[in-house]
Amino acid sequence: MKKYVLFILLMAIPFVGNTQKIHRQYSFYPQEGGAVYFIHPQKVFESGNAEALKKLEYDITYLAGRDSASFTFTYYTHNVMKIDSVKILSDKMGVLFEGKAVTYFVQPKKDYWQQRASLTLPYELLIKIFREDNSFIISLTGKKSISYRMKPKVWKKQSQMISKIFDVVEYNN
Amino acid sequence: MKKLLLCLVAGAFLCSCGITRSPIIGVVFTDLVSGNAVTSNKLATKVGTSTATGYLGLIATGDASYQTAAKNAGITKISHVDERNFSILGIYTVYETIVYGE
Repeated sequence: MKKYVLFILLMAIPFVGNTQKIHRQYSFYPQEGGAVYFIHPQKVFESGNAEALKKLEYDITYLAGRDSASFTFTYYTHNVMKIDSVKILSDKMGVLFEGKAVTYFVQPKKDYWQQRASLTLPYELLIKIFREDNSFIISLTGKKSISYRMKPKVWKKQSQMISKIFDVVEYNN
Repeated sequence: MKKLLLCLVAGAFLCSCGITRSPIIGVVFTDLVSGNAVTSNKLATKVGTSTATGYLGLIATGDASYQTAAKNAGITKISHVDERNFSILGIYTVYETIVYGE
């Protein structure tokens, strides 16, 4: 019995090991007026702020031929925290971009709040910040402010993967 | 104890067959994307997803509705819907709805 269970588990290992393969992380839909590229949700940004719960989850939508992309994200807080603006910061260069946040929804969960918002930012900047050596910081600002960033190991993987997807976009345009 | 474990493993395998609506199911591993719905709206400028997850073929939670996927991207006109089915041995399964629209 043990042998059979072990055999099945061993068979699954190569597939499980490949679950982060890049083609599974994005969708590409060609259409009239420009293809739409979608980087699937990535739950990687962390915060040291006591108000923040769970990781910030982001996804990116880019329409080929346009100058901007949508950086859409979900964040969880103990209390309602509606935001007005989002800052993208770098350790070396300070504020790289500041833009108005569009809130999609605010909804209660068990004993916390889930909020989803979107930021439109220049596509070229997005490419640049994901090719940096260190994780950028995303700072959400409303009445209060919460900052998130990726851990170095996570950043290394994310940066490589997202940059490769940007390469795919470039090759197909 | 062994019998209980055997029942759990057998249950997980048998239940896993019914968990995902994948057009093709791999008992050991499944990871495929397929079409689900299409409308007369051609343009897609936004993409949203919603997800439901199952564990051991015994517990399933989440919200993989069109409504949630559309809400997550601020979509008011749906163009088409894809779905992604992911399963490892039926122990860990994910069903993801991917909605395209504007």
